[in-house]
Amino acid sequence: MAIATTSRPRDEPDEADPMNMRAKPTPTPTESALALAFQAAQDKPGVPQHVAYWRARAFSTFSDLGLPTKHVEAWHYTDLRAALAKPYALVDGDVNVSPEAILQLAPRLDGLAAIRIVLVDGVYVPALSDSAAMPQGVTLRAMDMALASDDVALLTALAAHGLGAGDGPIALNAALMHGGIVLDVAANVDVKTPIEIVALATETREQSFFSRSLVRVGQGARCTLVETHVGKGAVAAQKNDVMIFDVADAATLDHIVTSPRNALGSVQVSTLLANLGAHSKLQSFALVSEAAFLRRQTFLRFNGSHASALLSGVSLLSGREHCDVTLVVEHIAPDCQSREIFKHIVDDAATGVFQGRISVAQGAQKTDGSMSSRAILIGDDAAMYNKPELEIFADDVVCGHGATCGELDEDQVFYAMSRGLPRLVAESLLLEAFAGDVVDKIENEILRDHVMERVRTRLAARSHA
Amino acid sequence: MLEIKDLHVTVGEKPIIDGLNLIVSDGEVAAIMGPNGSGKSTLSYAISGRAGYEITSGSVKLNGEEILGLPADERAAKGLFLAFQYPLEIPGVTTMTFLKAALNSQRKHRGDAELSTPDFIKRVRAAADKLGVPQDMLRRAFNVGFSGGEKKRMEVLQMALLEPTFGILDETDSGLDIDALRVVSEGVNALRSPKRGFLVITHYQRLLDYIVPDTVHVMSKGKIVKTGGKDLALELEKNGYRDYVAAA
Repeated sequence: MAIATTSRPRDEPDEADPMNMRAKPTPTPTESALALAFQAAQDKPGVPQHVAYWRARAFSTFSDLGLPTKHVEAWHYTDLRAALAKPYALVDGDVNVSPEAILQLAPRLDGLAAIRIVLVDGVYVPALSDSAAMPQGVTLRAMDMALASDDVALLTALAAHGLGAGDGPIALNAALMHGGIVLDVAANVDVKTPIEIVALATETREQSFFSRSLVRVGQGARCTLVETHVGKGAVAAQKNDVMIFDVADAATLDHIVTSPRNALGSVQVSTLLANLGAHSKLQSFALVSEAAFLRRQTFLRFNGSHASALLSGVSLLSGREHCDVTLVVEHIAPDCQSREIFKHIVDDAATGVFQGRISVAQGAQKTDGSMSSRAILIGDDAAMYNKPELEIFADDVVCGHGATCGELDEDQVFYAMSRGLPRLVAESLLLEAFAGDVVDKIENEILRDHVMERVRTRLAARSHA
Repeated sequence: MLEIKDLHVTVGEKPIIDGLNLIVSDGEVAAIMGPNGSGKSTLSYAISGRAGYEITSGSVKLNGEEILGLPADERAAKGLFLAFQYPLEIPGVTTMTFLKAALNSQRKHRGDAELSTPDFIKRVRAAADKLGVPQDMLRRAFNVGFSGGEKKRMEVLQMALLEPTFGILDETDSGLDIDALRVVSEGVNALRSPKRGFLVITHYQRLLDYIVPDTVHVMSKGKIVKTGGKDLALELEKNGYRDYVAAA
């Protein structure tokens, strides 16, 4: 697979021009605590030298950038520095969890027969996973084991070939990463059974998590990956998780991720970095619900021609929740197709953010890209910021974007009420239909029904509030 | 039975219904005719409880019970049904799902047990067959892509299913060709019963050839200005509304 190594110009102060120099702000208590935590992690015995070096470089990048504030354009609507005002200790990850506890928080879906990989506070726990049931051609390794095997190529893959460079939280994740897995699907293997990563947060005390996982789908291989993040939502946490996809030529990856229930005061940055080879296909759907304060950012790059990607998602926000969906889709190779379809239901005093950029490089002719973000605001104090962007340097492309922000159609609500549906039931029905339109894009019927059921349950909770 | 007494309705501060009185008995089919802008549709929305139609004074009783002040769904559960002039489309919700939600919401409100899916399907199918509504329409998104005639048929199908004690038909003939008009009218006529009253709102006399009214009321400038038998409709068709517009 061909990997482009270009990176976008970074918004850095121009050292040559003193008028444009920006003073580096004093580190916040959280930034200072992170520096200490980083040092302690580096000093731990057993960290291979090349890994320590790689982490040090990542931390240096982070130190230069700091935690992003609203003055950083990509983070304008999500002031992470302010959200992370209070430093939490790094997770120590020594907690026993029973299989029953996992099943209670993440019941197995009837009929799905998924192979489960359980991560507890980010760390792979073989005893809780279906480790012995890995299909032929699928290799699963704990991240620290994989790193210890002195595989330099792995570090390149873990850096997602440069995707997301220039983003402080991603660099911070690399510097502090703990736990995670490396999952490899060999070339031409068609994994019929979905693989489900259950990531459980034990929430024993206020902690911060930095986990990074890598999934490589070999040439011509196919795989369905479900990421189920769960937590009781009892204790606030600071989470920074990165998932990296390397989808080789002619490979297909179907991905469905559901956000955890985060306790009030939690802050989560979830990043997906995906590199796509020629003729490959990626579908990724994200459900966000009860996530407190979440930034879901996806960086996707088409490295080979004739590949396609469908990024979609539904966010259900209420209370004072904040959800920022940010996408950067880079078309470098020609003849690729990207579709981004997102819906947001924003209730109460919640805030939704959608930032989507499709950028088409000069050589990426015949790119077919379209992006849509639609929001319904049902809360009196709800807010939505929609910012779709196109950045096109090729002259033979079809690209479009649309963003809408509106309220429920009162005519439809009245019509349904005139048939006997109480207002909240009528609203739920209409909202369900609004979200269902995107959920329908999930190909696996069991997963589709599961996601729809979660949407329905969440909306029904409005009627009982 | 529907009793409207001295009803005043304003829409955005503008008075539209201005002291309207009307009684429609059980089993009676009353037609309201009137020129554009006389307040006919406002009357139907005010009776059914649409937001933005402010009742400044008056009373509307359904079967002896005051319904003004109740939300639209409770009025529906008490037996009121409005067949819309322009039925809404609800993308993403199948017709079956919508009908089931409507019927079971009303049953729940009245304290009846909700219908099971098989029982419900049996009822819908029977009602659909009578109105010539094809089964595949029931599986499609509610009213989405339906023709004008199909949408009106769907209104009558809902009425048949929900079995209201009082039905208001708002310009049910608009947008219908002769064949569709006949099918829809037959559907309504089949629902006529000594226990069910109707208020038929229309511009034209044509609909009343199919749904023959017991009484005809002429509405102008927000009130009833003339009441008569079915022959009044014929007279209006011949002479127009001019005399009544002047009278109001």
